[in-house]
Amino acid sequence: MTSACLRTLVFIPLVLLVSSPGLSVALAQRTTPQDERRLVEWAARLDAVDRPDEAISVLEGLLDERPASRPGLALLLEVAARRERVAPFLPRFARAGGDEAASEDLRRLWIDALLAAGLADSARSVAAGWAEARPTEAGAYVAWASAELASGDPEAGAEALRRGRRKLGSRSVFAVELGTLSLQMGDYRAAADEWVRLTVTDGDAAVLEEAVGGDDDVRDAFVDAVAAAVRGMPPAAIVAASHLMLRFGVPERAGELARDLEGRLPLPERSEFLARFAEGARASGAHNQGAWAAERLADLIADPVRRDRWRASAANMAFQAGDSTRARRAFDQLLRSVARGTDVHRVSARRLFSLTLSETGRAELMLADFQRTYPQPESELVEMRIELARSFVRADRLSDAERILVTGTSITPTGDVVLHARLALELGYVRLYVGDVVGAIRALEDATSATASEVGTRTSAIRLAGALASSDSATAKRFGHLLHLIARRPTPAELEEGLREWECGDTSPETMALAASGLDEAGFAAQAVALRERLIDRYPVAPESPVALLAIARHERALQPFGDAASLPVSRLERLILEYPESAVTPLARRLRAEWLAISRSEAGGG
Amino acid sequence: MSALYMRVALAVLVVLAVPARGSGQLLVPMDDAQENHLKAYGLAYKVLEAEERADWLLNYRDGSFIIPDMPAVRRMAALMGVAVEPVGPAELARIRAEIESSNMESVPLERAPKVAVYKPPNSSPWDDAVTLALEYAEIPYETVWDTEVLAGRLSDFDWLHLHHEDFTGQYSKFYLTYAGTEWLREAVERNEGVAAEFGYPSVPELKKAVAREIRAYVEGGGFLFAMCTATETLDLALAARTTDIAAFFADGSPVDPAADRTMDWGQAMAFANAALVHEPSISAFSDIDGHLVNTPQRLPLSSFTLFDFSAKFDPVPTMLTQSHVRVLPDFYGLTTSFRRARLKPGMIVLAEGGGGIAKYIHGVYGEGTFTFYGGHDPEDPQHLIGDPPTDLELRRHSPGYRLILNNVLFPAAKKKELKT
Repeated sequence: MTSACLRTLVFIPLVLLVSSPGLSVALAQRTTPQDERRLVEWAARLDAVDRPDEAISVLEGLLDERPASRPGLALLLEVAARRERVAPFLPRFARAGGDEAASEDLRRLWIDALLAAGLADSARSVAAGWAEARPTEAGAYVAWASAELASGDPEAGAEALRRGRRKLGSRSVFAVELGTLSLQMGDYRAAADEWVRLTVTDGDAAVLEEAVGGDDDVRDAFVDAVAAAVRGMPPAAIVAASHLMLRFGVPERAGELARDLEGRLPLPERSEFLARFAEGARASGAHNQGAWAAERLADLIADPVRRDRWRASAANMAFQAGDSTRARRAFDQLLRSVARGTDVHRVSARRLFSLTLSETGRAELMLADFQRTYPQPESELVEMRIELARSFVRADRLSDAERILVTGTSITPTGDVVLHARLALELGYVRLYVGDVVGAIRALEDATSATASEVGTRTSAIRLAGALASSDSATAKRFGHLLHLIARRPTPAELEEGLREWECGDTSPETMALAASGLDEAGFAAQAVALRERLIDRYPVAPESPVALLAIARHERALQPFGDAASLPVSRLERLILEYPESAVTPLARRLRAEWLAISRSEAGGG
Repeated sequence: MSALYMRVALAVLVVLAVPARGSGQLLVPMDDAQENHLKAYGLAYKVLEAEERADWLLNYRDGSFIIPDMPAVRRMAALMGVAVEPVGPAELARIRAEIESSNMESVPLERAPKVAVYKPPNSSPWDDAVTLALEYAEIPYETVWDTEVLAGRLSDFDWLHLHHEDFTGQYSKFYLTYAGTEWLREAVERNEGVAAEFGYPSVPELKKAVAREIRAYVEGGGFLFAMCTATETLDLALAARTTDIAAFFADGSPVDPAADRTMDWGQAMAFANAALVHEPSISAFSDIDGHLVNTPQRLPLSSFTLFDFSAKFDPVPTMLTQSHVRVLPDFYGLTTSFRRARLKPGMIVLAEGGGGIAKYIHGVYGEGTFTFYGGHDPEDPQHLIGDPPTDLELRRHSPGYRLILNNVLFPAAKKKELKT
């Protein structure tokens, strides 16, 4: 027997179920709500596997027995509307929705079916009749408005809703519908007024907020309108508006409203508002606004434990927001009030140190203090020492940078070779910046000789030592000068100039690759990509070229995470694989390519 | 008709039959020179997908392929990391001569088969070796499950894979061991939902119907490949046409005490006369499995050996056993192997483990064929529920996975060449 025959046999029971009168009787006798649910789910599955005609047959079978089945009619409308074949089923909707005892849902389905069939005038007439016959049913006015809107007369739709409001009072459904309609009409102030109405009456404004959608222009206009609408309104509306703006990703506007409101609130309400606003801001990533609220709140609290908790929150959010002034102020206050030796004190001291690095003198004192209070873990002290040394480098105080690193060995009394190697690598760089090539190589050898040093540290040290060893002294010094320039965080113009000068002289694939890594570390990603491209052009057969190509592909991928097979990062990987089949990074490139393509397929919904 | 006319007509036919491509060919070696055995199958598949022809050189350098030498093909091979060797007309003639004079054969591959994998819509806490192989080799596939099978969708596919499904409808007998786990609760709910939807009184009855559809698919000319429990339970479900072999938790009634006597083995495809495991708490189904991993009778793992077949007279078993390694490490599954005493006459054993237990078998049913491969994951001998998936990038020469991919390409072979 062929599979086609079998398929036919499999579906005979289904066809019989929905078309045979004998079986229909059986169905009526046992059509329970569970059966109804099962049949509707069945139809939905059929529709989902692109078999809408069979889905409609199942639904018609169900509706023959249960003409007022709301889920059955709803799915029938959905399937038929998608196939633009609603008209043949209108009698079913009319029978269910036109019944004297029909529920609001069924009446609404009837009107929706008329609209889906393109009979807007009929829909309007039925809806108006419904409102007249049952003036206390809010759904009638909503359906009427939909029919008017479908007829191209949104103003009449709005009037239908206002008529409902006059009859039934301020129900939230009218505010939601009028707000949504106003948005569609571009009347943002009217939409904002409805939104305010919803918030002050504890209505659910989420539907209306969702209707604003993702269009930035609409969102901005709505935000402006809300800001104007809440002016002079009770605090509840302003509070709601500030949270709306946080959710809508306009934290500055939220902050303006919050600052305006905060001074006007009596104390208990003010604390509660600030706490909620700080939490809302933190949750939506608006750390700056959150830090402001948490700091204000901390100033209001007498209880030292709660106050420190909010101060820590303010400090951390300010730190994350990059607001170093506020963060330093908050950490300073916190360090004065919390006990030494606590986690809060340690974290605050560590963060305040990072924020103070530009003041190298003060930072050095803080480091010494931190080391006395928290001699462990040594790794944290080494990291701090390296941060301070880099700060000295940026301030062009290379001898201080060297001093800090050299004395750093004293903080590793356990003789931790990994930490020693980290300091030695950093020292190698600083000596190279000074022009002490021999000293730099010695420090780098020190970093590589530590057998237990981290792979990353060792590799970096070997790469730099190798590049220096293969250059003459003058070339190495010129390279050190470039690396120093990069480490000083120059302006883009200074950097371009420095790179141009350096590339006019002797370069090598090793030094270009190292310089590109330095640019990456210093945050000059675009310049790093450009330098790597020049490396590939200048030294196409060097082993550094495929590595550079891989780095470029990764950088581009980070900017374009869901690119398809034709995307630039994938094509870079393909170039690497095809042009450098023997490179050590080629297997990695193949793997990345497969992973990226798999992600693209899953993003596109493929399997 | 004159002899001259015949010669001209023949020449025209030959010219028309030559596919439009460059004169050179690429050899995809499948011996130790190959850098990525698994992706090599994907490369051959892509060539077929592009409506180009490939030849499978059975037993020549462990089952190499000949594909057209075109820039796009070379590019794809390089991107996939598949080793290819250009061969000119003289070298190709030498290879063909060697094939002609040895236990080798050249099988034309003509069409990329449409592949379906039978798996439930959500993820189970175990991985499917075939899905891993297909994805790694970049061979496209679609998934089907009971709804699609019962809707007759199998006829849309050339190749169907089943993995780790329990066609007796007993949830691999994990019902008691894993009671309360979310994945099992979901599996039960999903299966019961589909059974109710299609009007079957229980999940075991649903699965029997699905098994019959799958058998009909093979009978109608489909290629079926199954691993792990799907092999054994498919046949048990078919033979239990009118017998209750499901434990109480699956259908509300205990196993029929007389089930062993009432099984209709004439309905099964591969096995006969098995003794059922009646205990609901033991995750084993019958004595078809030679290893019975979850029972006190569990056999230890050893290795299994691929048999050699005559490439010219038995090209199908030869295709299915192409490998650069003939002795492979064994691996457990809920069904690990097949006792020879339970195989139906006519079944071909492709590989055998210690104690003469079959590991890998092949059979013909109606117009189609089926291949059963015991065990769960060829590169994870004791795969446990919840274990991470095997990373095939680290197993790209896996002979165990090669056997799976042999099956995927098998339906691409030109029909008239299949003599078995």
